[in-house]
Amino acid sequence: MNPAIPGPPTTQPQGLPAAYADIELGNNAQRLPLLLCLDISSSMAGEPIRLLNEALTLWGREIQEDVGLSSSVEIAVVTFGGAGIGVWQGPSLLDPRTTASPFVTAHQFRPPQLTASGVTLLTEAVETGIRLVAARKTELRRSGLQYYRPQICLVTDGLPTDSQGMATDAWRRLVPVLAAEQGAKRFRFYAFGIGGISERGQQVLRELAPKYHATLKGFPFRDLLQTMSASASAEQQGAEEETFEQLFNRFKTQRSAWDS
Amino acid sequence: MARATETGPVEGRAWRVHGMSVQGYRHAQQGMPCQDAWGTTHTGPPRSRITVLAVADGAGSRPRSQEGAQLAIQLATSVYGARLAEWDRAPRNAEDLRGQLQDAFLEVLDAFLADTRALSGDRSGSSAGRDGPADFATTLTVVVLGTGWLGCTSLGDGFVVLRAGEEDGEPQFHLLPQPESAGEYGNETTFLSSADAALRVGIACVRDDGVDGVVVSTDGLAQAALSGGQGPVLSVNRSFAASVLRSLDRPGPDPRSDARELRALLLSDRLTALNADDKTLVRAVRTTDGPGFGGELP
Repeated sequence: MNPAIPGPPTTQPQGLPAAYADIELGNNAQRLPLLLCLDISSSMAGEPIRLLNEALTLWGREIQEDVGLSSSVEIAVVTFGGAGIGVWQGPSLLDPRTTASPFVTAHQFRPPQLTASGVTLLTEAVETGIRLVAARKTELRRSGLQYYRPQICLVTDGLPTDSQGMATDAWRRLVPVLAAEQGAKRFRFYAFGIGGISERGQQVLRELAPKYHATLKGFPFRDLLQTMSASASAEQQGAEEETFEQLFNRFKTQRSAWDS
Repeated sequence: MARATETGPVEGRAWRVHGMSVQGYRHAQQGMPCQDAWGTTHTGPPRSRITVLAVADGAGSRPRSQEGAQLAIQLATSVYGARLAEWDRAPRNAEDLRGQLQDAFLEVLDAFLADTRALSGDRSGSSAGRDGPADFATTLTVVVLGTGWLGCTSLGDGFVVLRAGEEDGEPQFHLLPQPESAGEYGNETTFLSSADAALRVGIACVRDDGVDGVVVSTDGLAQAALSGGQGPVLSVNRSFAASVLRSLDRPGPDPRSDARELRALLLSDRLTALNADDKTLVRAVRTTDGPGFGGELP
């Protein structure tokens, strides 16, 4: 189980009716791991990172208030930029040597305060995300907790680079991995290009996420995160693939409207 | 807002039965109906009455699953009821009962597929763009309660808890074996419309004079009624089972108040936080004081 994350108390659900007040309930909710894989490289400095931090805070509150999601969705954040790959358990950056899971249930989630700098180690970040999701599923199985198909959401405004900041084709090794993992329904993978992502950057996302990629003008992080909540709700209901496509196509429609 | 969609009492000769389906939070948010259903019937000769309990959970992703769940319940209560009414004796052994239950399930399955094919054709005039029985996808769990024995057929992720025996003065609760999960994820299950439904149905037979309480539910209550999080093997959350059966063992003076309390439990934020799906609870307790003991539930 995850350790409790320090933070202000959350609103507890209302109690049980008097006749059933002696029922003891733990949090056995069926879990839905949601991993946010966020670009915080130097190109995100200034307004973009401020908007991202603000959106994470607002979304964190919204998801806590959704009684259907707050005990079910588990959130982890992986960042790429700064000193490399960062794995966050709520607001805390985890020591790379730790074996603790970064996933915290939504009602415990407090967002990290992110700062932008460094290079775009997108490939390594996605690989880290895939590994963390697989590990979390193993933990959940061992705990006897059921779970829904996890979601990984990649958000970037740039091209993948190596640790020296040079553009690299290393991301190509992700393509067959992501295809196989999604073919086996191990998770859903969404890729969003934001800000001024280049055509080449968009092409990377198209290849990584052939069905679920989108390029958004500006930095509509809140809308993007709300879509992750909507996708989580759809997953809980066992929605068909076309429901997820409709959710995602909304972004493409918006983009067309803006473009026009 | 969520609301109760069906509630009702049935007082059998030996079993007091009460059931309720409520619309889940997610369906209430989206203006979708409750896609769960339940039903019960009593059959057999007066001295050896048999009670049938059934719950069904329509697939949230399918357009006519509410109809599917209701059809499954209608078929289950009528088919199991009619077949068991012909019994003039208790089952000879578990194999005897298993065979009877399997035949009853297959009859329900065949009727469900035939009826949903017909309904699909009636409505569309053509099967183009329609998936026939799959549009009506639903799980189905049926329990038959005899004197000193019970049987269960379960397709999908419904579950059954029995109360039988005591240890240190405390009633003991037992989860009937569930069919193997249809996939890795909790929302993957087998429906009557699934190609392998006939192969995946789970059948359980119990001979025990001590069974005096039964809870049958769809998966919307699994996280509340079953204890996960302690290890890979599910067990019964005894506080839940004890509480919902106790209120039927000893009904209050106002049956409507009792029903309101149960509805409030099923719609509570605490249970919704564990599972936002529709919820169905059918409970039965063995009565010793005859019909009317403690009043009837509405």
